[in-house]
Amino acid sequence: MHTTRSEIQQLKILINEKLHQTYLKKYIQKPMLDEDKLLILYTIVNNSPISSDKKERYIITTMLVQIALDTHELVPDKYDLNENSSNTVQGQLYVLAGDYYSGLYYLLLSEIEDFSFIQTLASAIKEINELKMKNYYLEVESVEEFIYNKNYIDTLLIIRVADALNQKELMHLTKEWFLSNTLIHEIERLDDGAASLFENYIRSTNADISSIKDYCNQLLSRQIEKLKTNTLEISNQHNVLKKHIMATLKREFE
Amino acid sequence: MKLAKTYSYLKRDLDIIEEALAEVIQADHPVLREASTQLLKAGGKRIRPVFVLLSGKLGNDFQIEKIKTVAISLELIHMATLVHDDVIDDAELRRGKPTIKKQYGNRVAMYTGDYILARALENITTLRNANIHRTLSKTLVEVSLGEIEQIKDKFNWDQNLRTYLRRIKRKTALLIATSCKLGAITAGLSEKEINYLYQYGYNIGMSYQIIDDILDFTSSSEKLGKPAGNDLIQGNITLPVLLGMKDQTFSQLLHQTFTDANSHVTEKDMTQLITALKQTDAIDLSYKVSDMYLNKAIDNLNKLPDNKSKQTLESIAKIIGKRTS
Repeated sequence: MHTTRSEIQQLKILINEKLHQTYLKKYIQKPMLDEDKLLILYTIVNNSPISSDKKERYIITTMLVQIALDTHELVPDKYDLNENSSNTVQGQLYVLAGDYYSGLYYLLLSEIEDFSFIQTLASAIKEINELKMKNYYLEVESVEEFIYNKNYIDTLLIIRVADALNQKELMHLTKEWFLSNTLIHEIERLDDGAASLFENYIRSTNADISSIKDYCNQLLSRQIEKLKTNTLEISNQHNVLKKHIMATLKREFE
Repeated sequence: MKLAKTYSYLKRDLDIIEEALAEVIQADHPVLREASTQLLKAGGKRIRPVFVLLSGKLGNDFQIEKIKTVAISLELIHMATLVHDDVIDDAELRRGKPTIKKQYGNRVAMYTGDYILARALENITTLRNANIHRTLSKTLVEVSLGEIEQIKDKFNWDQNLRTYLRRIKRKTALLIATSCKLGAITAGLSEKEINYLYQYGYNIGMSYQIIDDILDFTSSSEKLGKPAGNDLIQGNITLPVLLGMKDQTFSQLLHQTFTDANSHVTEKDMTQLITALKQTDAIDLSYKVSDMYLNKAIDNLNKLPDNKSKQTLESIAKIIGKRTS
């Protein structure tokens, strides 16, 4: 019998095989595969009463969609075509790579004739792009709303999959976990003075960085407590996920 | 005769499709809604919906609701591709109007393209026909690969005719072939008939793109809505150039102009190049290649039973061969 770890390893190999395209590989960085997302997705899908072939396809295609969306986020705001430099080609290929990965998810699900899952993923993509527009134009009343909106963008795909598979318990945990992850990451960036998620927000609202940092730290403290409680409450059959989240928390805060 | 006139009797069906297209892109976010609507209103020939309709009308089970679903999705996929293409090409104008990229920036253009593609898939999955989805998904992947190849082959003067033909197949012909095939599947045509229509669409698509590539050199900037020779400026080596390169004078001038791919090609350089190209037999030969595809398209059409749709498909083939814009 396979262990969760080895199954996830196997899934990573399969996803990377799907992503492989010789020319893209030459010019653009290997797409980032979010291992936390893969783990929670694996837990959600594995907990549902569908065939193992279908489980594998669901995980691979959902990750492909996530990677497609993330790849499109790498498209630069501006090109200088006159330069015809590798940077320009790289930017152009981010557009096409994202489109290619999107096509692949549709192809893989068409092969197993799972039309309703294609629809689930397509609807999630639609919603995510609506939300992205809202955050892009900073149509938020507060930094809190901005963060929650960002968290929703990050997790919506997995939440919709969990919803389709009737895994409500894990939907909640997904939101809590990824909100904590985002906050940890952004606080680090603000501390290091690196480009942050809040850059545009700070620029256009003239918000004070230190007050944003304070707010993030407070929110994170609350989140950690919520996340601990939620993690301990989930059923023991999700032990690998439980251990992983608790270990992450321990690493970050103890 | 103008292309639109040949299928003017489809107006009622096309109006239904147009209305549904406008409805399907009603996003919640105002900018997303505006950008998508603007793209839709910019027009276009709606050639894919026309092929879906005409192929569907060759069958015994023509149901406008189903045909509409297919037609909308194909047009949306085409639209999504255009929005992303304009980001890739840094294009400021499309059909003489500012592109989404120009008006709202790359980020919004990316979101709009992704949104439109998602709507296309949401819409077409209401039809639960495996053949439709297998065909369309394969086409989508191939179209993306074609675009990737196009970037790869930019300024590659050593490419051959085969590379070019494979590229235009993926870039244009497949989506038209798929439009014909999906219309035929939806209306219950036989396997053989579906294949004839697919072949018709494929050959028409090849010819359509070749003519487009010819017009890039022979038409005016006003008619094209972009500078003449724009494809070449962007590094896209099309059939007329590939054939023209067999002429030493043109080939030398071409290489001089593009010795350094980073150099800026002026309008004067391009006028000189176009004049030199026209002095070769490349344009005539390109038309001959296009005609070869058109003849193949008509051969496939001839295998289908006679009716008004078939006549229209034949007229379209003839008009495409003679189009000047």
